Amino acid sequence: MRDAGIYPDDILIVDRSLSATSGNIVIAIINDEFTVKRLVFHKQKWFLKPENASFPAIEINGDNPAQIWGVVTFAIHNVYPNA
Amino acid sequence: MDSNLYQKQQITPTIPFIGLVDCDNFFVSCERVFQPKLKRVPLVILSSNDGCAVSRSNEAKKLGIRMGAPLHEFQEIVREHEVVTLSSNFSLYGDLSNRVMRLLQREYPSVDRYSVDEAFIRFSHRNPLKAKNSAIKTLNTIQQCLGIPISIGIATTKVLTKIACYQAKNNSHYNGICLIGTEPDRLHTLQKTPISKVWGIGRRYSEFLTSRGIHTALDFTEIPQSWVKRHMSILGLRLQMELQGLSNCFHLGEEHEAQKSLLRSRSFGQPVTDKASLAESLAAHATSAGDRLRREGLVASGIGVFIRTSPYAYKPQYSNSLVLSFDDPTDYTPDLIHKATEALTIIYKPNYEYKKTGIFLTGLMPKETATLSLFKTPQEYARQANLMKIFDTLRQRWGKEGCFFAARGVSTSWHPKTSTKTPRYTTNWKELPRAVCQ
Repeated sequence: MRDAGIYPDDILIVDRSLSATSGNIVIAIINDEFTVKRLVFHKQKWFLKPENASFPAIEINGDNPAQIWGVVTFAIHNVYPNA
Repeated sequence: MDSNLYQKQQITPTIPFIGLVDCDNFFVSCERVFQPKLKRVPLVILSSNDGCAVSRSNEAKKLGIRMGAPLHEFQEIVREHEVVTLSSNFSLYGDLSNRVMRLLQREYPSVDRYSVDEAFIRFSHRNPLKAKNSAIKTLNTIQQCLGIPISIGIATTKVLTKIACYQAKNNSHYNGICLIGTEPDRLHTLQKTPISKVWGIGRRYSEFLTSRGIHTALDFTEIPQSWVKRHMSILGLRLQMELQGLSNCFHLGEEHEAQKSLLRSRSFGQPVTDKASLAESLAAHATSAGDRLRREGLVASGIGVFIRTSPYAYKPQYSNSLVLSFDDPTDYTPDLIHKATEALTIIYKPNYEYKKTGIFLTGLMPKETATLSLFKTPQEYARQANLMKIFDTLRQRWGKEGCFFAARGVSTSWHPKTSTKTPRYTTNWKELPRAVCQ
């Protein structure tokens, strides 16, 4: 998620009361695992984009279900070395 | 009794509705919020020391695992059906429970927490359908914000809301909300509720009533008052009136009468034989009870201590208890620890493998109504109060481990064993859930 300004070990603030819309960064469940992605609606299809050129976007459909767990509102990034 | 009395009394929209919000399989649901893979497996949460089933997923219930059943009783089913068992994660459950209550408080003028996973709410609407719509909104909000499934029973009395809630949980066509909004609703719902499922009817009463041909909640509402009063005391009568929708005997928010006793107990992770370890565990209980006393502004007149061996082990068994009185009612933790130790010295017998200890404080009363001492000077009082104030402040600031009485000991061999506890996802920065970032 580097391209969205989210790096490994960052702390994310998740607001579950929000309904996810296209463009939001979300915590999704894929294969029973929490994952952070950007939710995108494009040409009548829903995608979860990793915002990192090295990884492909995932299309969500019946064969490839995903569940939105919550919407990310803030990212906290550690800038103190070795903390 | 005039059996037609209540039939004339229609439940009308002029009576304010109350609701019972009950979280479904609460501990199981909490675990599933943070571990999606647990959603599809039979799951059982065990009590402290991993002893008994305290929360079961619907799949586990279908496999025949009883509420409260000791693990060894259903070990076979666990193996055969790959049931997942987890230790209780009370930090997580407590936090999510608070969040449920906060969401309810945001929407309802009166919220009365009844247990960790249940609360009574008062609707501002008098119209049953408006109350139901409001409940649907609440159910969706809690599902979205917390991921905890709930059921809501709506009726005019607490006992009826309990029944409505039971129906909502056990019949999927209600979609989690059962409304007893009209007299026909009430009759219909009571008719399909077995008497054993009525709040306050224990197994003994339920057998007694069934043997006399009273099988459903509706049957119970139709027997004469005088009979109920004779066989089941005033409590049975209240139950009957509540079921008839006649009167609200158990008022919202009014049964928080002052607590009369306070219990702290724990099972050991390992059996304990030496007196010193037992004394340490009692000191820990006394400390925790003391915290509670001061938080509630109460003092205790006496303290009871009990110790016992495991009733499940094929070993010599012993259990005993003793209640001692304080010279003056007290909330001073060292007083509690001293008396507990004194009682232990009297009842302790060596060479037994003890499994559980506990203390209970008796004769609780508000501190300001307690009579002044013949034994302590006012200066002594002030000194003790001051010490406890510092003690409480330190523990608030630095946690329960930040400051404690040495009598509690520092070894933790007697602490409950929690072998499969999940992280404290919501209350500890180091244990936040992790998400894959790729």
